[in-house]
Amino acid sequence: MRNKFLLGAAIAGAVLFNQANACSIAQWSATDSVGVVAADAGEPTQPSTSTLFRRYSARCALKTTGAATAKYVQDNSPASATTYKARFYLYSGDGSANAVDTGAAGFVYLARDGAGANLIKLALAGGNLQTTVANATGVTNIPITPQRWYSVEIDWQQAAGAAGFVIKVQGAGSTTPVTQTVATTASTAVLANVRLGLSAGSTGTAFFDEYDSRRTTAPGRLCRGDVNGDRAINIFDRGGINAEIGTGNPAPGQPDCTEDGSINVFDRGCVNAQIAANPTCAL
Amino acid sequence: MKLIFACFVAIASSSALANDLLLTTGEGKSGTVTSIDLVSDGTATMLQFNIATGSDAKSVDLTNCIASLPKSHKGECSINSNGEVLGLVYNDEGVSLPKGVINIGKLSVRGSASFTVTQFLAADKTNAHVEGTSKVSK
Repeated sequence: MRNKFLLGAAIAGAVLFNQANACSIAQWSATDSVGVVAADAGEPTQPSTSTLFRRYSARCALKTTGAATAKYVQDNSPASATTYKARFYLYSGDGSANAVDTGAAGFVYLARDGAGANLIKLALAGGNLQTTVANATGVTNIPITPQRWYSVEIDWQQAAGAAGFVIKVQGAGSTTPVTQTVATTASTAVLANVRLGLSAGSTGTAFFDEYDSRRTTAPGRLCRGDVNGDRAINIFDRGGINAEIGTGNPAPGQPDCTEDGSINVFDRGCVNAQIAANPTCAL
Repeated sequence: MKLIFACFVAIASSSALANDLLLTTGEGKSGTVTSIDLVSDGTATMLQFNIATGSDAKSVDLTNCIASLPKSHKGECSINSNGEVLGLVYNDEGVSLPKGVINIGKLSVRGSASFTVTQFLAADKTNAHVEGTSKVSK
């Protein structure tokens, strides 16, 4: 993951999973202290899925396995936000046997107010990412395929509005997002903190990567197939795929072009397609 | 050699709609040699093969790993610290490997070796998975 902690005007923070050479969750505001680990990408070409770490970008990710108790990291940087825009990547388990299921009452993502009441809750249940938002009615469902990476982009505001909450999910190699807009009613709630992980009683193993939260500007998606992380897709990215497959050393960018959790020859083909499509990757 | 050829013909005739990676292992001058061959159905443009050698990395000679590839294709071989050979074969213009039995190259190992294909992937010109299987014979 990119090692950054965004601070400054109108930017609340981006929480890191790694610093310098080591993968770490030390920069999160809080964790449950047990069961959430920083995942080193390890040997990306290792075929055995049971021991693989999954990451979307660079070297590290966050790994957590469902258990009787909740396992999560927490970002307190929103503090008292009245607007909140965030992005993270979610990998919902290796195949159907180990797919994540939090149940409808559980969560993989939770945004709360200062009193601990849920403002935004994302659950993974029955193969859907289920969104529940305070001051709105109903639950939205977005289908999620196991063994694939998805970006989840969230746009929330305290003020009432026809688009008071917007969630955008894109992954599994798709070039188009699924967007759902939720109308919200008036509220005085402020967004205080965010949890990423698995609620108590969840099953499966989830990976999280590249969490970035801001107050006014949306982080946006990372550039899929930008293997070397230079925000351009060209032959050097193709070479980067070869290098990662050959050496096992994780590339600094986003080599999992197919977004299937493995770096292999299909990512090389995907980068070729990206080169031909010439996507705009600049921020 | 006749036996190997007969084996190829038999496998090729039974694998019309798949790509089979074949390792044929024998004794070399100073150790063990395995020939890497592909029974191609003409659909694959890219291959990835991971071959565990059962040996340490320093004992494996990769010089001829992809030396016999068709001119239409390029490739790379490397070996990780576990003694696992990682091979890539590709054509970035979407040209498929020809149909038939294709010799990719060979691996030489000083001393004894136990070759196992731990992963074999084949992609077609649209980057879709193509059915691939692997076999090791002596």
